[in-house]
Amino acid sequence: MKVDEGAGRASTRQRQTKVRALDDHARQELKRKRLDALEQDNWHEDALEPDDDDYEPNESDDGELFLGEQKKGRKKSAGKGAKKKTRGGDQFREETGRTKSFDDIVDDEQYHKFPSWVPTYLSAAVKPSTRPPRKFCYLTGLAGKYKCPVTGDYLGSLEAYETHKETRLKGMV
Amino acid sequence: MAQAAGTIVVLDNGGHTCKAGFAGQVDPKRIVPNLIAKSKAERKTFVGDQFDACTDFSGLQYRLALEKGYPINWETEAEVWTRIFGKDVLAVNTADCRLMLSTPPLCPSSILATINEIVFEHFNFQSLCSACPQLLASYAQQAELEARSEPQPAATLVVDCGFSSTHIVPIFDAQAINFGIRRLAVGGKVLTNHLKQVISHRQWNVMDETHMINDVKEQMCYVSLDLAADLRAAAVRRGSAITREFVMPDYIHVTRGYVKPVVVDVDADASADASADAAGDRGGCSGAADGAGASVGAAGGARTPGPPAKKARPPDGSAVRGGGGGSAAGGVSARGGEAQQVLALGVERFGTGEVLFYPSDIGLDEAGIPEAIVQAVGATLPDLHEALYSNIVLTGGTAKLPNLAARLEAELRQLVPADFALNVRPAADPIVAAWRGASHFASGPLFERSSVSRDEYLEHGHAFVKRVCHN
Repeated sequence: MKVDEGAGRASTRQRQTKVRALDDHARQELKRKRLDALEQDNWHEDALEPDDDDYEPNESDDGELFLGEQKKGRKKSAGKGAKKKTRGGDQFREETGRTKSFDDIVDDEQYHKFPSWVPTYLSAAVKPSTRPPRKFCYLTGLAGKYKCPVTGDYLGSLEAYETHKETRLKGMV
Repeated sequence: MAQAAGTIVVLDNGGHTCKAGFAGQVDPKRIVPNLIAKSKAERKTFVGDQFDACTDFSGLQYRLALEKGYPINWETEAEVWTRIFGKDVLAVNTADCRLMLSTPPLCPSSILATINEIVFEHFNFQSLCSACPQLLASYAQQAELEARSEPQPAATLVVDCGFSSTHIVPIFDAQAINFGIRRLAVGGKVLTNHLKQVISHRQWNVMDETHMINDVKEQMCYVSLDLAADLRAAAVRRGSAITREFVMPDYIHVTRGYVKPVVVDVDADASADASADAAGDRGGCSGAADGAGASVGAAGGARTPGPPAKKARPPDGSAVRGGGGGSAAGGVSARGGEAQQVLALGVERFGTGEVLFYPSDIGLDEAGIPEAIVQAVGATLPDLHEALYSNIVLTGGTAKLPNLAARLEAELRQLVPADFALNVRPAADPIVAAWRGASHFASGPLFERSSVSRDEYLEHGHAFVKRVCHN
């Protein structure tokens, strides 16, 4: 009996590994990205280009993305606009050599070399809560009864899971 | 220390708005958005106070002068400040003025150095005095009590729910206890962005409509006083007592979105009615609007079904729970023959404010405000604990969320020893509290002593300014 149980468990485990469940590291990374998105303001340097239609993509790696839409003029410019935005943002940061981001400034201060009793920007951060995190469905905001085995997100209902499958799980399962 | 005598300009340089005015006055002359905004629709760029002339807020892009509450983007900041000191706002010659400036607590010294350079070398101010806005807010409270000739509290704990972050600063003897300062990375900006994401998940894609969602937040969100009950009420699939509809602006007929008046469902069961009233009262923003909308007709009836298929409410009125119940769908509703686009918010109305209390809800590994307060107070000397707990002042724009103080007090009560008195008071006007304190301080006798003149700065450099202004 015991042997059978063990074998059964092993096989389910194997089945589970076939679905690419994200490991802790990947989940942390996703979480960090989402948190960063909450911090960002939405400035894009080139977004106000007056002649959107004259814009020619000079980055070759963009080409494949828009090949199919070459003839649909309207869509093309919209798609390129979106791509260009991100490019512009990056350019602005790097090329103008403008002020470093705040995180870089904090890094440069080398606070880790300060004695522990000196209050610094880093030491002022609130410590993690002693309470366990609450579980809410990220789609409906209600009680998160179920946990997605792949991403670790909490979901409240089957309906929410369907949406979850179409969005965050897209291309994974 | 500074001997110069000139007009004193008081600037509270906040993450979202910059409060500018002159010392001695009660209110700032102008509250200027501390950003450069780019409007796609109007193809214009608005710097600082020019933003007031903006009428089409769709797809606005912002470049904020502050990042995480600290002045970083000096290109933006210098432009905004130039507008503030220029003829449109304060109309001063900066070379004849002294400056009272708010700088965030525990500011990295390289940022302080840049501030000095900008103030003394770019704008040529005669002298500079800077202090953290939380300390200034406590001065405002002192001044208020003084005016009413009430006794001064022994110590103050300022909880500054700002735009970029929430700072908790214990203050004793008119000085911030710097080893007790705690910072929570949740502020108005995170709340707005979170709400934006949530709505984009559930209804319309509003990722580009930061301005509108900020409006939604200010008009509709509140802090729940009984989360379990509110969650139950919001889980009702249709006609939830908490759901309110926000009419989105189209920037042609409607330039500012508003909350649609609600007609309370007649067939809703008694408990739902009770919670409807409670929610209305607690919500604050929509309570007054209830009942005024009789002519609008049943909100639910006039609406065409939104994107997710919705089941009809069972005839017996029992609640259907779970699923997309809380997230009522947005839709197009007809009113007076004109199509309006509405945003229906249920659970989001109080879910947004929850992030302040449980940042773990958005995956942030930090304690909420109540626990952060306990951490901040715990870092100070034990003798101060009771005094700090008995005088907690809430400032900052996010403190305007209805019920924030009440909820905070309720949650703190569970964490603070029972024999300690607990008092959470919102500042009279949370947004300008720090400015008022700064104005009061700058017109007082201590201002001269704690400001650095231009000559002194040129002679002694950044470290001297830091010593004088930041102890």
